[in-house]
Amino acid sequence: MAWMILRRMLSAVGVLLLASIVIFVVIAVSGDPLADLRDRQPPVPPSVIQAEEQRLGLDLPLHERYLNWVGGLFQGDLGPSTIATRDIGAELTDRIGVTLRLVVVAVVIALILALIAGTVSGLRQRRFPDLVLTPMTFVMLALPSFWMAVLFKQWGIYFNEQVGASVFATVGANSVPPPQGFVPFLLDSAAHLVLPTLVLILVHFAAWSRYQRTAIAESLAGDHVRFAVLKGLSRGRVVRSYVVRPALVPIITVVALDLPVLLSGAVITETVFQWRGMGGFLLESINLRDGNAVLAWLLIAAFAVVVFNLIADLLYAIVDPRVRYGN
Amino acid sequence: MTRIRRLSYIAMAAALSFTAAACTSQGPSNDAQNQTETQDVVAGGEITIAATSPITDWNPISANGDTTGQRQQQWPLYPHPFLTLPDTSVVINEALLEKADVVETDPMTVEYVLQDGVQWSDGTPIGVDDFVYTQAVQDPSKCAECLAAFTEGYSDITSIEASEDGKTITMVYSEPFSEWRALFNYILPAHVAEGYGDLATSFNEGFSKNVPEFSGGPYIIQDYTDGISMTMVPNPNWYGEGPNLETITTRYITGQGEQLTALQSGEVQLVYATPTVDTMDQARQLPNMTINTGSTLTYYHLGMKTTGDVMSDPALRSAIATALDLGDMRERTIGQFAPDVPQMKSSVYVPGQQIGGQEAYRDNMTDLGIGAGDVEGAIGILEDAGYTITDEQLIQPDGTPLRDLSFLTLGTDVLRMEVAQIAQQQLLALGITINIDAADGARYSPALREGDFDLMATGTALDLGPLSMQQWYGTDAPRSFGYSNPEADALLEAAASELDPAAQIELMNELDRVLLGDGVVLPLFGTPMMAVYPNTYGNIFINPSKYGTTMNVEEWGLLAEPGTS
Repeated sequence: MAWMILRRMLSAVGVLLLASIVIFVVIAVSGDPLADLRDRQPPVPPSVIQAEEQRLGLDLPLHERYLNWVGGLFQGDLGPSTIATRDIGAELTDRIGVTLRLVVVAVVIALILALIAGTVSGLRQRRFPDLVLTPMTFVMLALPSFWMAVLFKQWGIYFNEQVGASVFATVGANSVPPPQGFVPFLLDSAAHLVLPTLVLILVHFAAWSRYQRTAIAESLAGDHVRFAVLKGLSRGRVVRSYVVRPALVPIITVVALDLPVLLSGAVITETVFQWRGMGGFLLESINLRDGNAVLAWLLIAAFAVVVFNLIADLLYAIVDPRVRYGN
Repeated sequence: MTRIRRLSYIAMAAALSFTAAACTSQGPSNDAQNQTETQDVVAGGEITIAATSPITDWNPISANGDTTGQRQQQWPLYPHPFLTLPDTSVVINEALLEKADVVETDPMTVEYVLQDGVQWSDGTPIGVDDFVYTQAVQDPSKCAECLAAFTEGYSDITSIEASEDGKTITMVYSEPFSEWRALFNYILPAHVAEGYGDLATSFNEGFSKNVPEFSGGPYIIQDYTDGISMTMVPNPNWYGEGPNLETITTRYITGQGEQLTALQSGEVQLVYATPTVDTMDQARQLPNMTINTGSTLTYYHLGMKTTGDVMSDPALRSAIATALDLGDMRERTIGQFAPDVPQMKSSVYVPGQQIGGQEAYRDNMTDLGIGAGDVEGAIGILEDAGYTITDEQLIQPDGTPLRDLSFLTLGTDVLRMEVAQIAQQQLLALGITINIDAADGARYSPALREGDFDLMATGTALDLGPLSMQQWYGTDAPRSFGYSNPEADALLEAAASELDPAAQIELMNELDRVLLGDGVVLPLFGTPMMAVYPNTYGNIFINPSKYGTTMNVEEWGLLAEPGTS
């Protein structure tokens, strides 16, 4: 197991290095980070442009800039931002916290619901409640997430208008200024969390529950299940140990692939509800052509991919004995 | 139909009707207006403003801090010698100054007389040291390392002295500088700078990186949460009238649509933005709102390259200028949502612009026959120059077909894209094919500066009068795309040093006729702006300057008689 983890980590470093080179080159050739500064009216003095070029290392050859960036990484320096006052590391830390706050609750709820709904649907195919759940999840899958987010936002505002109170907040993670006291703060946070969390839950619940349903259906058709039934095991045990457990492997894979994306920023939900998370960080950095900030985001995203794939590998070994024995 | 299926249909129908209810307008639509009259307001209350971008540089006169959003957000924190009124006239800030005048012309000497008791929030008097510091950091001869946004004029100041009582500050310029009122637009506190270090360190680091704990304006920052909000409360040592509102919070919300939704939900109370058809419609559907619309000193215009293989021919440029119907362009673009913003018929002044109390704007286009959509006239010009139109294709005097012309525009700017498409349509009548080059932000500006176009659509801010024009049309100017005309250069130079407003207006209008005659600029309309806020607030105006709506922030307030807005 330890060797497997080490192997994974080493290959992840290679992937990360390659990805950073590609992203670095793509950003470097995609536009001038000082374009806005050069475009000012009245024009900014040439000495200022020159000073900014030096600060960002734009006067150096591309490979030298990349090596400087990699060298800085080992000293904990993520490189200068196109915004002189921006501390990329500090901002990323804040943003990760915001995204985690938004995503963790949504993922847990979505996963539990998806497992339950997918399993029930799979076990009771073309019967109630599958007849309700299946069309419902297809509708959710068909709805673009940005549209769903906007719709929920409008619903929230409409609800507030009807009850004459701000039950649902639609902007940011907290009110400004945030309420004093633990309980009021908690309630305020909840008011801001409900709508974006609902959007994320529904979007992921829909996809994950379909995977789970399919996995259950496949599992049900397996010879091992027939064998367990013929052996006279109880229905509960057959379902628990011979149907659901092997059916967890595909959903682990899917969730392990989705989670890094989510942690890298639920871009649409964050944008619509104005949460200042990882997704917003990436969009802003691209707009600013802030290469070092994009690279820092990439590092986090790549790290998340590696970690969640590793966790998925470990979970495979837990739910599927063949993986353990194979090793 | 089973019971379950029936239940699903009922649930879906209920969800759809709920959605429809949520998305339907709740009240009568609002009409846009251009409110400029001061109203009676009461003390107290608060407001939250939606802003697109947070502050990234706290120094409003540094290269990175001098951006539209940051200027507007930081205006309430600094003393300003002059103010721009909604009608574009520039007036003295009577809270700060008793008067400010050119007292001698050779050498040009300007005298500022401070009001009694003007001070920073910590009680330090605002005085000559602040002017000296603000000038030094924008004068490359005194601080070459200072990353200032603008240095013109400041480097012409040879001395700054104060009278014995400190009330009168006298500045001597080495050269006449007509736009002296545009200088010292944010006066930085010298005593705060001292604590930050030398000139360059205090300017580039101290003022840029630290949230100001001082104020020389009506408000002072109480709290700033990076990327989330900025809260301002009245400056306890404010020396002017007001302010009325007890708290002004700026909330950072990206996207106009999101800002208007936040306005609808009551999470912000003011959206100040450049409207589009969609956002204006959205604003009109919000109940109990005031919508102020107006235009600014920044205007949209077309431009033509005057060099190169085909555009160097004055006849071709003249024909294009004559055939384009610029009024139709206005009608089909901003006319859809800001019908009160007029077509511009001058490239140097916006309609109604006042300079030194005198009407500066003149229609210089009509006499020259520019922008009237006169296709017959344009064909006549071309035929006189030897061109012909065969099979809907313009043939040059040498018998070869005119190549397709490239129209450079900013792909992300809806208005500029629409203007390009209309121009493309209108020039078909001359047998000219236009290829629209919709560049992104990264490519647009370099392409513009390098003259990589035949026609283009862009915007120019006229806040600095002749200096604003010089950056484009002066020979070898910073934004020059190859245009050069000695007559224009001479007029630009004369206007930049002309201290008499009447004479300057004459020079600028003459320059306008030269530029229009060369076809290098075809003005369209001022950039429209909208301010949307609950109709319980008053005195929030469209400010035409680049400093934005917070210029009169101390006058904002809750209406004494709500509903009169």
